[in-house]
Amino acid sequence: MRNWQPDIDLDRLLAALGEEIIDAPGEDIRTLCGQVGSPLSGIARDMRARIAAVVDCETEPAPAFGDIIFRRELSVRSH
Amino acid sequence: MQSAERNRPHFIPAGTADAVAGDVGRALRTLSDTDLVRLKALARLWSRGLPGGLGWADVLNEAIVRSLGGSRRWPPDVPLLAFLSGVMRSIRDEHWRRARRDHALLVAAPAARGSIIAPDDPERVLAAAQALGAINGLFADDPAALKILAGLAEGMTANDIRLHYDMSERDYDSTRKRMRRALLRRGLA
Repeated sequence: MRNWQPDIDLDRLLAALGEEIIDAPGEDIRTLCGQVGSPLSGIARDMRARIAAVVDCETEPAPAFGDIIFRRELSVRSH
Repeated sequence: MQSAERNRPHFIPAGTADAVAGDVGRALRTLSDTDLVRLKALARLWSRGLPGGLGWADVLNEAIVRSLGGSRRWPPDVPLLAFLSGVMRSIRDEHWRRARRDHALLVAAPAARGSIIAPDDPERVLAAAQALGAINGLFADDPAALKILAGLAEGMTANDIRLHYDMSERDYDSTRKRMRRALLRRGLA
């Protein structure tokens, strides 16, 4: 029996599943959005707003990843 | 290819960092509705089980910032979603490495902090085991999907998996289709 390394297995699995998502036919996506009650247009609108917020802020950079973590930790500690 | 957005737009000269950032910005703005859903599902996938309360929106945001800032360059022959998926994968890995280093620093004696070598990361291993369990749980009633998941986690190709588990090409393809739908359904939530 091989030495199980779940972090490596997970990374490989997520990469493979990511490819599945990228290759999913548009028709499947439209059908699923209908089935789960999340309108495609609503998800797309939300994503466009998120992307625009980042792209538009190029001159005023969004907080760095480390800053986000620091702020979250600070917020948790202060409660 | 499933969608037109996968092709890099041709209206910006390639080569400079600004041109690449411009390419990414414009391509992001012109993603179709279905590609935006795919992008959200990818961000949810790569943020699975991350420590520190980081969610899919944080990972997505950081991937876009890095792509626009040029710290990650978009190779000319790679579709945008595949590129962003790779950036999010790196962010995930980087975040775990940072968490491991920070933990090592926290528990080390002050005098030893300059020469810290982070130990193996039990938290990451545990989180990964839990995440694998959660993904398997999505397909608990689908033995064929569980076989494919096991094969993918071991880095097997589609052909290897089919041969190893004695699956017909038709069974394999229909199972992958079910898996894809289940994953997307989770990604839409």
